[in-house]
Amino acid sequence: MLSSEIIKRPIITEKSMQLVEEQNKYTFSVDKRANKIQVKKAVEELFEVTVLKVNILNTKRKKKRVGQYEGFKSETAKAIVTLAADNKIEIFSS
Amino acid sequence: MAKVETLSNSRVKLTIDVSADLFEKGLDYAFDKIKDDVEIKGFRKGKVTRKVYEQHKGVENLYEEALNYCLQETYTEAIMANDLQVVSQPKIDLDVQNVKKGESFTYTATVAVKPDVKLGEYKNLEFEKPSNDVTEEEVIAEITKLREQNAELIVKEDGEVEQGDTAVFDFEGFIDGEAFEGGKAENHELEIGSGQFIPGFEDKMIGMKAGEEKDIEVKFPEDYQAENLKGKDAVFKVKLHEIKIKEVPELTDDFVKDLDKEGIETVEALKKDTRENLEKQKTEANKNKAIDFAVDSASKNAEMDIADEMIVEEKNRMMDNTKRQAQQYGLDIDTYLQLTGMDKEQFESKLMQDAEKSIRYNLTIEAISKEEGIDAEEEEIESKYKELAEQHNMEMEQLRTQVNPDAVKQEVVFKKTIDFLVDSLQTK
Repeated sequence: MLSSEIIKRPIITEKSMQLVEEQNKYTFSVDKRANKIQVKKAVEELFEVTVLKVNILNTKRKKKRVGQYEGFKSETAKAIVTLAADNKIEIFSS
Repeated sequence: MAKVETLSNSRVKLTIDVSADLFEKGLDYAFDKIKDDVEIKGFRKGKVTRKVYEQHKGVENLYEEALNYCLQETYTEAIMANDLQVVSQPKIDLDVQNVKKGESFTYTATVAVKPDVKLGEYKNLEFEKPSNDVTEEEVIAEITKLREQNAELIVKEDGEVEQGDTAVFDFEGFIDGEAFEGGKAENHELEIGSGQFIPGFEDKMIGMKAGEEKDIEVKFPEDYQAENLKGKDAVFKVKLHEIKIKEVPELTDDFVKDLDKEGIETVEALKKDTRENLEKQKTEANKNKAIDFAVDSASKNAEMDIADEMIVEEKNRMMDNTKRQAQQYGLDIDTYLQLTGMDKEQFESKLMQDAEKSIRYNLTIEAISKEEGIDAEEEEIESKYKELAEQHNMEMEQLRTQVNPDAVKQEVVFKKTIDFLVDSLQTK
């Protein structure tokens, strides 16, 4: 898989911003099929940083209803990537 | 830092730089203001950071508020640093295209300042002081007025209505044989010749006798206030009850006693009292004349270039005052103007003139007080405060918080300067 296929988008929320500030951890939405090693390589390649650790968690699909139609919110995996101390990713910077 | 350039007509052009740092501070300030109302997914209300906000909504949204902040900061600073006495709102010239985050920019502000006053001749002016003396005729005239005010109406037993008499009568008016609203009254008192009724009516009553009935034909004037009566021919059925004439009381001690003035019981005493009052009035009036003359000549001899903006702002202030006064009588400004018989344009141009005059006066007096080194002592300011407190029926402390000491000081200095000018007047 290509690095850009593995990393779908950054997750920018209050919680994820707090992780950036306090622990230099960056959260991304990643492809469910990717493993930690692939994520590590992809992040290193895309953002030119050194990754120390990757944690992945799978979010379950959730039932959603739009009017009378029922469906699901797509399943995804979240990867929380810990970077080496002086490394930064620009899109998160605040 | 600001660059200062003096323009004509007492205006100053300030060219002011705003640094990137200050603009950044302005953006912070602007974001701080809106922060609590920003909603972005993933964040609770009010928890969004500025960076995230800028990425989502763009930094441009903050520009307006940030600019306000920067302009205020730098403008006030520039005014203070250059010690300018600004008398109008600044006209800001700023190209918004040049404003960008992280960059400095420049703007200009044009303001009107207090003009320099070049004093002409202002002291030891020649002035023909009018005399304060009261003549015997003036006293008599005053007393005659008093007698007329106290005149009593007595019934004239027989005879005809004459000019100056008061007629008591019933009337009812008809137009084309129909009675109309407001055209009827009983026992109405009318002084013939007072012009209270429509023209012609009073004249036609002359010669009537008590008890007589008469139809009076008149035409309502074209500019009559009631729309439905304008220019109509009307017939008034009039029944005259009695005729009264004014009886002016003789000037006797009895009349004086009836006036019930304290300590005055004889004609002589009344004359003396009247004379004293008149003298007081005259002295006061002459004093004001002298003040007017002194200030007016001094300001006419002085040269100054007053900025138009300054006059306009003074005019607006006067306009507001008038409006407030009108409101106290429960009128809006338009009705007020109607009552005073002025249209809006006339009124505005009159205010413009007044405004310019008042500015001229004030600037001249201020310049003179500086020239002559007239200043207010601490005690004088105190006593002015006391005076004001009595006038407004307020506690001293309360007054102190409401009235700026500088304003009071200025008032004292102005008064002293005017006194100085009046004292220096030379009799011709």
